Amino acid sequence: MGLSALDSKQTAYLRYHRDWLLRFPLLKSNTADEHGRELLRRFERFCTERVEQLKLLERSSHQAWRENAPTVDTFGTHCSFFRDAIFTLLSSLRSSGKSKLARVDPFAPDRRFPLLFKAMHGLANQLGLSGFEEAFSLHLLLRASEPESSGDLSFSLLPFSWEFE
Amino acid sequence: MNDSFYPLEEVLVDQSGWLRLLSQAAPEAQEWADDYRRRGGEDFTQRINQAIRFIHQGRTSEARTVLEQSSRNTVDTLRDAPTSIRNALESWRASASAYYHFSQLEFNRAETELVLSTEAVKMAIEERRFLLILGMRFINAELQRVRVARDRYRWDEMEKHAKIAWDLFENRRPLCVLDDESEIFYSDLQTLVASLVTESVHDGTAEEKLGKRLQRRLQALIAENYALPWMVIPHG
Repeated sequence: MGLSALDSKQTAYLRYHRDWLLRFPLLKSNTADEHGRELLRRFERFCTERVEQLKLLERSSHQAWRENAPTVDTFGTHCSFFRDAIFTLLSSLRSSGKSKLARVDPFAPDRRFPLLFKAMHGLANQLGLSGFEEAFSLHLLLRASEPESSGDLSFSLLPFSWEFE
Repeated sequence: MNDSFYPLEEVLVDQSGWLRLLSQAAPEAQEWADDYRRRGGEDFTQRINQAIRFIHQGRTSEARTVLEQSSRNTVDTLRDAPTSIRNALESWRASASAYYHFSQLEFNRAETELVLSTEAVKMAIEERRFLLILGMRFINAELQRVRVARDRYRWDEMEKHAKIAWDLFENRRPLCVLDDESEIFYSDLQTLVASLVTESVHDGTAEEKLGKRLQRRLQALIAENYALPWMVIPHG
């Protein structure tokens, strides 16, 4: 989906996107970090029950992300158009130097992430995915692109280390 | 909610119900509360609350009109009122005005009003010590500063104010320092309020429960600011 423009930061983006979807309702409802980790454990249980499907996803995502540019249309015209647009957007941001976009989100490890998030999240919303379903799809992609991430359940509600208790 | 906690939480978090509690306090505080009512203090705060509702509804010109009228009111109608009453009212007005300017992205003016709001409370306490019942306003001002910093994308500043709010609540720093250099802490406010609530919880277990509840509510007030409103599309 055009994420190849992120180079080595693809998995960082997937984690960023997933965590925002988990974090938002937790912050709104005054729920602790631990609930976020519990949701990740639930995602992991789904994954371990669906090993074959995950391998299939792993193969297709690796194939898509090996491409440096979205020249191969494997998903149909509309998807290709969206992928091209995302790739172009990310490429232009990479070369645009300093930008105010760097400042819009204290959780973002890369200044391109918030803008990409808005585009991808907007698409998921149009497709009718709930936040939870969207987060799970991001988790699946993360697991497919980085199988060793299964043991990583780190999650934080706030952008700094702060123990309330 | 455990109803027996409500009068305490009203004042200690929601900043309401304080006048009713003062009416149950020592005669000096009761007289002050009566005078406050006679001079239209409750009507004044109702108008301020109406202005806040207008801001919530996006009716900003109406909010501005109400706030301007309230400002004139403290200058003219209440000219002869005791300064402690004027300061108590000024703190409500300035806090609401800060919110108005925040909603208009006038952040410097919002910050100025927040200073005026807490200064007014401090001066009120200088004159009438029982008015530390308004002490939650100091924490509220920090929470508003968290929000202002957030909308300016000033993340370090946002974190700083979040931690100050938490330090105030945890009694690691005073709400204010009076002219005689005495420090007023949130625990002083808690002690005062607990002494005024007739149905107060006095056994250790209930107090501990209340402490946890207050802690959770303040954590929520701080943390919810990090649910950046421009990021996730809210569902349902």
